[in-house]
Amino acid sequence: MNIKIKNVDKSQILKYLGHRGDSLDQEFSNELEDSIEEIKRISDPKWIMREFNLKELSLEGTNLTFEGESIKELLKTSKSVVLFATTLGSKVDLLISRYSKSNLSKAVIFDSVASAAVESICEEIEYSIKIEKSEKGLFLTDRFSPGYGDLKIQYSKDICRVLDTGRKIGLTTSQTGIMIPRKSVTAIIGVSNIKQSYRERGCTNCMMSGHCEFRKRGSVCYAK
Amino acid sequence: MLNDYGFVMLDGAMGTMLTEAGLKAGEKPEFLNIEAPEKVIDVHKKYIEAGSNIIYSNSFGVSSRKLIGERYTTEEVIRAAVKNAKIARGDREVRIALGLGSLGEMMEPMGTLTFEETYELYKEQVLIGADEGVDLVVIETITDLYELKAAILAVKENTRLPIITTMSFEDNGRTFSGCLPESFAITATGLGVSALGVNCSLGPDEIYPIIERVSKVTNLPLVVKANAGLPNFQGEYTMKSQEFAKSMAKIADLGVQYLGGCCGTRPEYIVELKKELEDRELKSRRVVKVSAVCSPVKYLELKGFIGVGEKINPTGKPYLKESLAKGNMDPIIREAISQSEGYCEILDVNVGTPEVDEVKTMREAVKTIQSVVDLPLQIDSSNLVAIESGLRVYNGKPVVNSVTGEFDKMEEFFPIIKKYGAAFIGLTLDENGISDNPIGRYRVAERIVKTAIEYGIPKEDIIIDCLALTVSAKEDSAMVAMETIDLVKERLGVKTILGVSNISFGLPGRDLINNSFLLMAIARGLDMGIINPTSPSTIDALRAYELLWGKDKGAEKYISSHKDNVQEEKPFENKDISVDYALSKGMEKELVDLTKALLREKSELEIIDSYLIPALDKVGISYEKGEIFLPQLIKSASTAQAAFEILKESIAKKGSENISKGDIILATVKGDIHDIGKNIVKVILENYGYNVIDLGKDVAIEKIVEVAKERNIRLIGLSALMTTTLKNMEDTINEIKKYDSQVKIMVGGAVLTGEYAKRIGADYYVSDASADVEIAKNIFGE
Repeated sequence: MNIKIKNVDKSQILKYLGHRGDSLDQEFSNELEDSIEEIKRISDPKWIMREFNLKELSLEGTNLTFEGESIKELLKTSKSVVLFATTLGSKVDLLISRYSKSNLSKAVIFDSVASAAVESICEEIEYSIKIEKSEKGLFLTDRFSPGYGDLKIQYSKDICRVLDTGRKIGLTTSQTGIMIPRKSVTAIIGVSNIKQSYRERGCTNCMMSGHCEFRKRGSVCYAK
Repeated sequence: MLNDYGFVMLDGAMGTMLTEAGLKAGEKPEFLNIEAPEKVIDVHKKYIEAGSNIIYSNSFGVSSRKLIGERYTTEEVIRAAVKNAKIARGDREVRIALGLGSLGEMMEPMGTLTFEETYELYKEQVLIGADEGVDLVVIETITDLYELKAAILAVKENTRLPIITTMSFEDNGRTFSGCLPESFAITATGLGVSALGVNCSLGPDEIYPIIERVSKVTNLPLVVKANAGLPNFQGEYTMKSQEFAKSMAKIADLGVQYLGGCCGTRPEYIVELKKELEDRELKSRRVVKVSAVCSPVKYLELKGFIGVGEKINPTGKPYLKESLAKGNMDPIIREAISQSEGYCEILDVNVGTPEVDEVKTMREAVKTIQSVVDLPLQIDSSNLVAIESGLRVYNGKPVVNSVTGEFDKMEEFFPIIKKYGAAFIGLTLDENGISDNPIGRYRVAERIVKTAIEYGIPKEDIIIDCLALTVSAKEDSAMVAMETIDLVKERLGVKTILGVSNISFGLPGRDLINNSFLLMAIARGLDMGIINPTSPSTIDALRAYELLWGKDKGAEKYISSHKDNVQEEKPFENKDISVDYALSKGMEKELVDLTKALLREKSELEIIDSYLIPALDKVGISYEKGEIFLPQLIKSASTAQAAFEILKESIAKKGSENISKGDIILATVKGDIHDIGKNIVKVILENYGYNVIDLGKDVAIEKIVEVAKERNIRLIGLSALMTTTLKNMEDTINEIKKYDSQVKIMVGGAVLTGEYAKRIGADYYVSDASADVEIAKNIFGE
């Protein structure tokens, strides 16, 4: 299915770029705006989701079973789970690689803008699922992706396989588990009739914990 | 060939039927060939009973790369799949197609699968299928034209089986990778498939406009296998069989001969479709004659005037020669990008110089250029082997430049041009050299056209070079070219081209002569010109031509192009700007001009050591202090690079020794494709005078060791961005150290830490964009 990029979080982009909160000069600000507009224009975001009943950590109707403490914790009260995958499409990759040959600074900005754009799409998808479920009196857990906590990054590959993303939205994974097109996300959200207090965004569950650039600077990546 | 008359019924979905029979999401439907053959045979039988004349074996996703770690091999699955289809067929008049799908992994340049690997993976499958006795091969649900090309070549070079191929398009009329229906159609037609069309992704109503576009550019039989409409929110297909059949019948009315179903269709869909077609006759289609070339995303009909960029050519460019000899493609990439922003729609690619292995370099150049620019390419060489190596890896339909009218040359070149389905330029010269009258040149053109057609090359793919020779040697040479254009166009009806700038060779004020000649020739009907597409005066002349020929509505292009030029012509005032300032602010043009001005008084080395490096140091310190941040640092570094290019060119021209302070290899490790970080380090190191040998991304361990040996390297930088590829980084380090424990290794990437770097045996950890310079200074000295 198609989806549009609406809001891209500029503070997020600046964080990706290592900006330390000083004021921005006008020229850079304009460049950032231009990049956001360009991403909106040239990307072709697509997404796909499916809900599966859970039997412990196994997804019914598939051959997929999750393993790991953090996913177990996340899904402990969930009866079902929503898997989704989304991608900005291959043109974004091509443009980043072209800019990295002709205008590296622009490539770096563009890369960060694209990351923020795919994050904003995830938020949108998450929100639409939340609305749908809350009408039925159900709650969502936080959104979790392979690589969070101790959930192995290789699960991206399994999620892509179960959702048939190659055929449905053009999202593939390489032998080493890299998603291509690059600006893509696979995600897991538990559906429960109990509201959860668990937050996956705590730093202790993060793969970067211990050597995080944000924490070194006394900040956190999810700070608004 | 397929030799079918009238409609031919294909089958419907296999996966849909097997899912209904209990297949789970994420499981391989192909494994049922072995584990539950009765289920697969049953589906085939139902389709045959529904009326399918051709059934596809259940073997779409079983390349050996996809089956790594699985319980069956490619050979086991394909053999079982074809056997099941044969059992289902019994002795009925039904043909069995070896069903091949996408490999499911992205190819280069975006992914890590190379063209050559892709070819091998298809070849393996095709050989097994052919051995099992299939009647034809189907290549379907492809979204990357490059993958399709590898697959077609694998079938054609290893069997004599006919090929049906279908790609999958989205509702925006492009595949996921951006390929256009027209690009697909002319490329596959040129490569010699038997029938082509569209399958999957969309229902018949949405496929209609796409197959209609395909039908306008190919004369081959057409194929459609549509889904049962579009899926709903839950991913279910809801179009009913009768509705499907009615909608498919409209597609049949376009003259589409091969019809069937894809996702969501069942045997009853084929029954209904057959019923719907009973009273219809297959419509004969209008014969199409189009001259066109393409990349996946650019389809270019050769009409109006087409500019061909001439600048990727080392002749007379010492710096380009030197770079090619070192295997450094960066200058070529820059030429490609800048030309693509100028007045041109095709890029000529010539890498012929005595210092390089032209065959290998052509392959690399084509791959590299098409990864950053989407214009169709023109493969330019007099060496047929080099031409073939470029043609093979080109993604789309290219032009070959060029073939002369000599019989032995035509005999050699035409089979290759035919095989790869390229257009070509025929030079109006032969065993007797170049005729100095138009009739003589026309005769050669006539012979080229006649011979090419005998080799099966369509007339639409022939472009005749009427030859521009310098007017300084012979005063009528422009007029001879003009009259040759007249004759070739009138009597042969093929396209014409000229290498425009040859006309002014040896004369002053060449631009004026070139542009006047170009406009004269266009007026005579010249179709294509090999030109300098970034020359402002040529762009001006061509914009004027567009305006005067009524091709520029409201003079918009002319006016906007003219505005730009006025700005550029402003004299440069450099009095107030210092090197420091220009560099820190990323003012490229100013810095380049300053550098050129300095070159009049100072040596290249002096400029580097006394101006550029100190300015870069200041920027580096600001970055470390947090006064500027990453994009600004890179901008300054890239700006400095433009100045270094000027200095390098100046050095190359003098032929004096280079200024490198040391050679450093940089590579993103095997399995990883993140390369922005590596590219940043490269620019910064180059700015400090180091010669960076950039091996790119996803680099094999052996390759790094090989280059390290060959070039006697003392410092290697490795990058990895995934936790999953850190292992490859460790393996790479081990192998390098095994080869020579004295080679120093620096590593960087988001998931790394200093501690981890030490643990995997690296000598240095690159913590940020400027840390690498300190490391290099450490090793090579200040």
